[in-house]
Amino acid sequence: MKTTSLKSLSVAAALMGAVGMAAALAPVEATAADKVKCYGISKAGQNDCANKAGTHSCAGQSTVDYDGGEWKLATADKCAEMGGQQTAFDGVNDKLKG
Amino acid sequence: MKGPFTSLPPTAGFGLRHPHVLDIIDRPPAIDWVEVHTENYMVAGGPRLRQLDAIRESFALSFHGVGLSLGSVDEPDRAHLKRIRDLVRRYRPAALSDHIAWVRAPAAMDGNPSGGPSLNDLLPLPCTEEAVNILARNIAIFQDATGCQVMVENPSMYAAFAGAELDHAAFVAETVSRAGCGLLLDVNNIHVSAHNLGFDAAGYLAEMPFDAVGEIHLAGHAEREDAAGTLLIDDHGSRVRDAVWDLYDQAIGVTGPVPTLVEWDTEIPALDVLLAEVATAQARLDALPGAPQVAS
Amino acid sequence: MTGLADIQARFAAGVFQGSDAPLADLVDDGRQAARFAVYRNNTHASILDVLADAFPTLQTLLGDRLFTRLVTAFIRNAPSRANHLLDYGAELPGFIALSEPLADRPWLVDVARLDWTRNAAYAAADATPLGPSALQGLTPEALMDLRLSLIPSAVPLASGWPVHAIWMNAAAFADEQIRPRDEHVLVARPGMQVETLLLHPAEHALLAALHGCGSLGEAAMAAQEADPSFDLMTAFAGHLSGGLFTASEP
Repeated sequence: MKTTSLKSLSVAAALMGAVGMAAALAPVEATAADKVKCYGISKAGQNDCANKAGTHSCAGQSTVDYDGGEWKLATADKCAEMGGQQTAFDGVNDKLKG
Repeated sequence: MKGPFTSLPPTAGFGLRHPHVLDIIDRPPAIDWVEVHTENYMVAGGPRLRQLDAIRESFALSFHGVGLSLGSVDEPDRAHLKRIRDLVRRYRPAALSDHIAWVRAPAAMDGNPSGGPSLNDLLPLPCTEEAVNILARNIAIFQDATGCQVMVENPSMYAAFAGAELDHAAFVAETVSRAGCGLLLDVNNIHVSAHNLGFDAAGYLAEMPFDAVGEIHLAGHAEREDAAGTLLIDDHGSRVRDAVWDLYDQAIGVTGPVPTLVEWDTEIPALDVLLAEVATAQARLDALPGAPQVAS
Repeated sequence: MTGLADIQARFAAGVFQGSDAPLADLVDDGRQAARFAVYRNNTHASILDVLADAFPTLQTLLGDRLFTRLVTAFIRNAPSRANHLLDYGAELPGFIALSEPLADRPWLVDVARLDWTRNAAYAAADATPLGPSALQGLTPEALMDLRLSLIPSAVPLASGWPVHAIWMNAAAFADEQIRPRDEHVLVARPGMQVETLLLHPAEHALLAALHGCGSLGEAAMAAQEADPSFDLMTAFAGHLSGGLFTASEP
């Protein structure tokens, strides 16, 4: 009991300190009127937002660019059995499964 | 038919795609309006909406949908309609449209309660009474849910189904008439379909309900050889072809000045190239009898 | 005369299965059956483009050929219900977990999850962050009892693989170089930019507890338990000034 409350005292002190420290850091609201930052379009590089071009089109594609081939799927049960931390996947459509 | 189906100005604009978004926010070109794909803004927040907020400061907007699947046997997805309605309320677009096409397979296909799978493409319909009725029902739901008079776009076709009860032009005209909606007339689609299915493009155009035309689309297409000859692909990946400009001139000769859009979706060029194409369309609008003369 | 529901079901099956057979008797002219391939190409090519944009790290790790095979299998076996593309691909990490051809690369699931979490953050709702001033003047007890939420875009992730290092430079990771190593990552979009930050394990415990609706005190205790030497003050101050928190709904 005593150790718990000592711990929580030290944690509370750290949090109180953090509030003061944060107030002294940069404000939350960016004031820079930097268009690139404002509109969320990064310059090329690892921080480039992945979804920038994943847009709809109403156009057809003139080239064929896909490759089929066999693709075996484990059952969701087996996946859970293997101890994956991922949640079981229920999107597979049995009727369409080869 | 009531109309008007648009409050866009009768001038030339272009389909705004991601590579040009920052450019036109930074240096808005001298055009009145742009068109965006409604689905690209179906987000809760973030950069996409922030960009659209800024774009709306400089341009009138046309919302052109690609995902409602008006030709599906199932009724339009209610959640999708709600997203459209929310965007319409927030941005007050001057025009709202989608396609004479289907995108989602029937829910009954695999019994999934969240609806049929999406094929992410604008797929063709058979020219039948049944399809016209389904389109008319779904377009009515679209108009009721959004409170807008909408336009639907005539399709580009690569193959035709057996059992047609109407010809392609009559199918489009009948759909628009029975739904009481506007027509987004895509003259490139007419050219592509006419070539691929072997009918006369000018004859198809002549059958269009010009009173209902609220907007015209222009785009480039590609050619590919296959066993049945040359296939035209509506890839929106190049400049507008001469034959399509000819159809455009015929159309605006009947309608008079109409909001006109240049679409370029693949091999997207520099903004200057796109704007040059827009200027060509504008010059043709300006050359119509009675058009306001621009001092040079 | 074939009804529209039947035409659409057969057409969709032909597109997903990559076969013209279901389509052959839907057309008058036999030569036209091959033209349905255009629609199949449109579906596959457009979804391939969309998923390549949504999963750039995964694509780099797999290479174009294997990524394309994965996407083809995904379209065929688990066609998405999403009719707008910002939702398209949410099921891909789960699909990878079931994919036997990728079973010898268990890190791919977490890599795909990180890519997808970044997409979700990009489109997440905006929020007015809670600044330090809102917390100033609280008693220590009130601060400990405070319910803070992470902003809607923020998701703390834990992996048994070096997913952050891989995300930083996927091209540098050959399969045989990838060894198990715990890494903790925060994906968040406090403004308009999606951030992907490597977290200290105790910092992850703090944020995961807040994400799970614990009080600030409970979250801070969880962090101290994870690592008693963890500098809670500096970490919390950094996230507070960085705009990571909002007030919880009462």
